[in-house]
Amino acid sequence: MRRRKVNRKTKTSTKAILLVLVSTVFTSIGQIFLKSGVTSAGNLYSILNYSLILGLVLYAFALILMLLAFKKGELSILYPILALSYIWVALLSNFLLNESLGLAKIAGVISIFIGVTLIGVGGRK
Amino acid sequence: MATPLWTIILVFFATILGAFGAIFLKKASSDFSLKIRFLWNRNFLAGLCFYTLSTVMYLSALKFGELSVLFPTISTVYVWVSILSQKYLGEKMNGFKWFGILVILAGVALLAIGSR
Repeated sequence: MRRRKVNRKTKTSTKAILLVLVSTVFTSIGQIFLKSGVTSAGNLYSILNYSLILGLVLYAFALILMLLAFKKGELSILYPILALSYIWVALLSNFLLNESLGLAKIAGVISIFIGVTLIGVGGRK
Repeated sequence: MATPLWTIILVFFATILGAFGAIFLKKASSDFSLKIRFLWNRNFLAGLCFYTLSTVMYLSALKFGELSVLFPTISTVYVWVSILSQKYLGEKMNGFKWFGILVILAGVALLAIGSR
């Protein structure tokens, strides 16, 4: 039988963590569309291009997932999970834009992952 | 293009606003529903305002600065959120969580170095 060592009231549920995780994927893809939408906007009139709009839609969807997640967990644990989006952006840039990863980037990716895990562990104390 | 200092400072202030936005959104989440009614929720509106404002500031900075430098600058938001969540949400920080934040910041710095 499993004994719960953590106070039920303050425990951050696994569902919440997964929801935030999924929302980071959408945030990262939206990020790429936003950047491409902003840089291709020559003047104020062309600011509403498809790339920018799609980026904002993806962001909105990620926001909904985040709100659902925040309902069931501590902000100081869930919010840092958003740092995983750095990992997705690095990987996406590698695959889509052929930006090389290199040792520093790989170390950075691993570091972020460890950091997020540490925070998760800290949340169970 | 190089990254002008003012764009980094702009993003820095954007992150502070973003952190406050997160606090409001966390408060709003306890009232969250998919009904239209939720759009009028005060905490949600405040969170959205702060979040939108910080995003606009970030997008403006992006027009003149490189993504590989500005995106990592946003990572300071985790420090703000940790501090603000103690003050406004009654959450508790501990050694693990602070160390985790530090490791994340180090990781983001490594990503930025690797992007040069």
